[in-house]
Amino acid sequence: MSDNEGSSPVDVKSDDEVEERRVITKKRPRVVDPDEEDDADDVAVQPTHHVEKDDEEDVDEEDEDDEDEDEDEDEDEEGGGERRRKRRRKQKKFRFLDVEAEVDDEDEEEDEDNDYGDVAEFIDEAPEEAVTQDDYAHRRLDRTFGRNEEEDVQDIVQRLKERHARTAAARYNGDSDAVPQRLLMPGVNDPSLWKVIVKTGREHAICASIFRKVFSQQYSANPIEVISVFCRDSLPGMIFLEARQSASVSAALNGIVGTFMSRGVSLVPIEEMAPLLKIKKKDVHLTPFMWVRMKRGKYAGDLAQVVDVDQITSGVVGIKFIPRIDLTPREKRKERAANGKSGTSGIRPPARLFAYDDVRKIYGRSSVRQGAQSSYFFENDEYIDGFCIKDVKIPTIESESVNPTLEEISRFSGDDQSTANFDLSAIADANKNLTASGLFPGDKVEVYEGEQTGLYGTVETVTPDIIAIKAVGGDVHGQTIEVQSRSVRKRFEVGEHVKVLSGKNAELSGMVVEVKGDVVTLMSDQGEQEIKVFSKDIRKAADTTNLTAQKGLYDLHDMVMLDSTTSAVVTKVEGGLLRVLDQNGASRSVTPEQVTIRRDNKRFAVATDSQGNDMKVGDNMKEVEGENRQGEIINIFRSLFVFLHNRELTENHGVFVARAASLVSVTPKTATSDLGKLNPTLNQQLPSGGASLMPPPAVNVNRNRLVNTLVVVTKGTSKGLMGIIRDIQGDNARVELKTNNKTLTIAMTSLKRKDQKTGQTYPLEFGGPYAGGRPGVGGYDVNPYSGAPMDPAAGGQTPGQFGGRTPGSRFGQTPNPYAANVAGKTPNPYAGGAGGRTPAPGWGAGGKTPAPGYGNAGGKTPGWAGSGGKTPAHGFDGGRTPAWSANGGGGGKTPNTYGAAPRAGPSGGQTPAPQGSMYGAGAEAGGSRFGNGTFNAPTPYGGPTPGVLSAPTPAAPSNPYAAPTPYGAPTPFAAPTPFAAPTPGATLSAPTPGVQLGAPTPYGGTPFGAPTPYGGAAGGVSVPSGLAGIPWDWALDFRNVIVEVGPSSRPGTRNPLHFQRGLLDGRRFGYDSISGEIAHCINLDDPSMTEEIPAEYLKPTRPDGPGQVVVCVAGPMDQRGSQRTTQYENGGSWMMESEVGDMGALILDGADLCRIWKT
Amino acid sequence: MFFLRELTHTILLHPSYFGAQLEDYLKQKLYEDVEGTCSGKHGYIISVITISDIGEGKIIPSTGQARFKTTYTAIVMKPFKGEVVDGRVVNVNKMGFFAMVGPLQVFVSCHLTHSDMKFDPNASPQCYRSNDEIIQKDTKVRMQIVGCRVEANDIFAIGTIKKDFLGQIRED
Repeated sequence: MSDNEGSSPVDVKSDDEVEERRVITKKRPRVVDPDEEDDADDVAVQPTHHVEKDDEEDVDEEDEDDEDEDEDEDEDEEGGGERRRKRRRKQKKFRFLDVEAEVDDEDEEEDEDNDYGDVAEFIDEAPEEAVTQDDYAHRRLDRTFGRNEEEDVQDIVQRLKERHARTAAARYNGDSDAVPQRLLMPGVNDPSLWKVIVKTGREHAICASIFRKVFSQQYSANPIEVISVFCRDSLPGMIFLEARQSASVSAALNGIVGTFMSRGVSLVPIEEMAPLLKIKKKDVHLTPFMWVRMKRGKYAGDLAQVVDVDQITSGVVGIKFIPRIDLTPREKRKERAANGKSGTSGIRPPARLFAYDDVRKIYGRSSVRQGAQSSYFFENDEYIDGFCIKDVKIPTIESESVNPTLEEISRFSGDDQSTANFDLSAIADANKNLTASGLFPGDKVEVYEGEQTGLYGTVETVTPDIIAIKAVGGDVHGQTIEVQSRSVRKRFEVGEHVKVLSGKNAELSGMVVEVKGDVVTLMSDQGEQEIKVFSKDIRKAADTTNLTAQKGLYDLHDMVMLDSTTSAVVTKVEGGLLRVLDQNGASRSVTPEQVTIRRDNKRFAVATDSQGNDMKVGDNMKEVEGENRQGEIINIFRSLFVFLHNRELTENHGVFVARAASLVSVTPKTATSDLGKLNPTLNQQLPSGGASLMPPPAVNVNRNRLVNTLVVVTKGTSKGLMGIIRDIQGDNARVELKTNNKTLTIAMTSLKRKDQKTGQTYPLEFGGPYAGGRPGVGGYDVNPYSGAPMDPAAGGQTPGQFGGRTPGSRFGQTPNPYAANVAGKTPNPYAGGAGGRTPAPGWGAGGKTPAPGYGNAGGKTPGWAGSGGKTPAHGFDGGRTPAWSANGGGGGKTPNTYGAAPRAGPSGGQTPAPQGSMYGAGAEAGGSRFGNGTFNAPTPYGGPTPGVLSAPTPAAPSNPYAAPTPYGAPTPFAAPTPFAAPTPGATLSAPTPGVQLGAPTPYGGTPFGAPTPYGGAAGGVSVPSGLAGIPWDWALDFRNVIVEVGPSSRPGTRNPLHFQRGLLDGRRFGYDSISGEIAHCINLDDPSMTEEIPAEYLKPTRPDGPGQVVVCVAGPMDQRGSQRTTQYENGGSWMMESEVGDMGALILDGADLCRIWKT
Repeated sequence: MFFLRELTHTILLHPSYFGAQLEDYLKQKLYEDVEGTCSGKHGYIISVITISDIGEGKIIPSTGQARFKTTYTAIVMKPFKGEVVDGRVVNVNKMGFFAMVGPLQVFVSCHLTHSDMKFDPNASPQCYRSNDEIIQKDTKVRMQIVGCRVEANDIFAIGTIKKDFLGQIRED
């Protein structure tokens, strides 16, 4: 390659130049070198409109000129160097090829005429031929002599053949055209071609620099061994050097600015060398109104429009563009220049339309000249309608891949504001560049210009410029017609599902809602937004799209992990960025690299909603709090964070995040048994036996145990009425009302368990069987504990945990068995209440565990729990104790009460104390579900401290607290003493302060005495304000009664003691309705005065005279909720008017009664 | 458009359900599984009419689950281009409005309404208003479907009311 074609040692060429040079040599007179032409222009034009030249413009132009001159120089200088090098080279190595080259040069398309002359002149054939021929002649002579001596015909024949054969192979003097071409191809012995990455746009200058450098060192001690250097316009950003070693290339590049040595100097493979030079620039086809971009200078990258192609043959085209005129005031510019910043460099003035007044102000009147037809001349350029109109050389503009955006075009049409009202014709023009590359067979197109205008069809075949379309409709229906690819545009119909191929909305898909010419409006699939795109940029999307398969790595609504603990869901895919919403509700943009995807999470993720039902991806859920948003689950993280989507929400593209526990299913779910629950093996698959992460779901196993429970209705129309559950149906219960014997279906959430004896209300789920008044049974059959039994270990844990927190209660629970027994035996109301509850707690289980069956394990557990925290040592013993008791039968049993115990107890002392308090707390919690409180009120305590007590015990009476106690737990020995029991028994009674009723809870009956005490009740009761016997929230169960405002009766309340600082204390209100725990009350004296008073401040108003209608709000269970009329008072107790069904006179404590406000 | 179609559904049943109630359970599960779902191919499955064959269960080795290939006939709804449907508007915004046609969501772009119909963002609720029509949430509208996007398990349609006899349906 190098030899014939690269005729100069260091050859600076570009495509244009190669061509141009040829032209020059052949038709010099036409003078088309653009550079020269430019100069000529300058000369021609400048004199006419020369006004003072702006510095910057000058510099610009000069720069350019410089460059041009450089290039010219290069060309000029080629001659000399070329010759010398060539001679040397050829002599050295390329003898053979030279010969061929010489002959074939004529055929070389790229060859230059004068080169041929040079070559012919320089190739030194004569000596070579002389040598060979000389040699040959001698040998021939020799042979002739020999032949003469012994001539053999066959030899002769043979020799002739050989000779001819050799000639044919070795010498290509023949007339073949093809062979030489092949032989001209570079081979391994030729210099290599090295590719160097350089700054784009500087290729020419860099080539020139290298040329100069090499040339200047040519005769120095160490010349740079680079044979040629060139660049190709078709390959921007790289130059090529021909050299034998890469070291030479490095030497040549060393110190040249703009080359990127760091990006490597790579060798061009031999087989690519020739094609490299063959790549030709496509012919530039310029037509008026076509969009182009400028390549260089201050307008580099700016969009321009071709306006004039008259001079196209001379390589010049007229374009129009938005000028960038520096409108900085003159002084400032000078200032800047003075600061060392050369005037123009750096800041590129913004593109704005030429405004005569502005320019005149800055540059002075004389700088702008008005021409014909409202055109202006300013600094040699002509401005019409604000645009700059200029003739430029074709190579300085880019006509390929212009891709004007809507915004740019709209600026040209003189409308900056919105893309909404741009000139459609302008857009259409922009699309004239629709190349065949955007068309695919099967696309529907419309011909919009030329003979076939208006023709519709489907693309059949595509070649670069011509496409064949099968026409639809019209005379030519069904025929295949060839049209110019640029005169068609894609056609879409409203409703089609399309995908955007390019532009800023690439990859989006949507449905067409409007088509106007070339502009298609889409309704995006992903977000609710409209997008306008060119029809050339979209194509029909597959009819059925599987969005997940379609979109690469991350798809809408995929779950990704921002870090190991933070999950997020993709709300939008914005080009290369993902818009995500994380589990905390924050929205952010991330790159795909920043996140990892969690595939398959969708399939398996489940969570439990606020009602304990499962929810899965795809379910429709609603928030029960906050904004009550509703949506479809798109992902669940850790069964805790639920991501939902609702198309109607605008925020985060409709995605929001909620906690699993704050959701509820929109469609009421039937409590269908779930496989996971039915099948024990599935449960075991949970980590660590299911005991670890999540508390076991609330137990609603065996809800039927609620059947026959006495309940009171707390909400709805039947509020305040009592009844008995007859059946459970999902979340509803069939309740047989006491008042009228009707059976109603009522949601269980609006029912509360009523203790038959004490009349207290408890949450339904809680007290289990006991409450039901089936004491005996209770203890055992209750224990639902699911997990516990199976896995002692787990059982152990549970209690442990609890123990830590609330030692007291735990303790209490342990004994259960006891409690149960006791209860059974001692009808005592208490027992009923308290004991009963114990077991219930479902999985509080730990506590329960101990139930007889598991004596050992259970026993220990509680032990721990109880004392565990505080007095470990004891704890242990304690633990054992129960165990023992289990063995020993009755042994352990002496339960104690609690509260008091603590202090009194000798050793146990400390332990209990806490417990007592805990308890209290629990009690307050009152209503809370089992889950949390576990111990709450219901709790059992007493039991726990079994046997042990022995000694410590009794003392009690004196100190209420002390009394009860026996905890003895600690006393290991005690254990054995089954009887120890004796203890608390009686003593306690009084002592247990806790007891609400104050009443004597003791239960003597029990053999062990033990039974007892329940702190539970007590806790609740600890009513400071003296609302003795009435729970603080009594008001929630009764409505339309007369209440009195007083200090809060809620133990441990966080509200102030007095409502509104006592302003209303003592006033009477009619209690009308309730929301939450706030009662809506109406002042009896002034009905217009209403107040929202928390229930805890309300006290029942006692009857103060005969004949008043009252409701029994406390006291004996069987009277609770009943309405009576007072008849007669004696010492705070009232006798009621007798009613049908009364067995005898009914006397109730005035404190248990509340006057009815309206009935 | 509604069709009566024979479809099949494969049910995997856990062994814990094997028993006398098996068939009932299968039926119940079939209803739960398919009713209200949508497949791009068949459209929305509105209701199962008959279960023609519950199939015989085959135990899958290694899991013990049984697989039943159930054949049933169901009413399916599949929208078609050009179909005229009645729906109720559920959401109105500046780009147009969404209407539900049973389970199908149809979007009517503002470009596909009569040109005299303008979006009124200040009204409450927001609405599209022309001289004689008001389209707001809960308005009943008659639309013509101009295109459907069919995904694997969802269908979404674009509708127009820019033709005669389309638009608000008056209750009189």
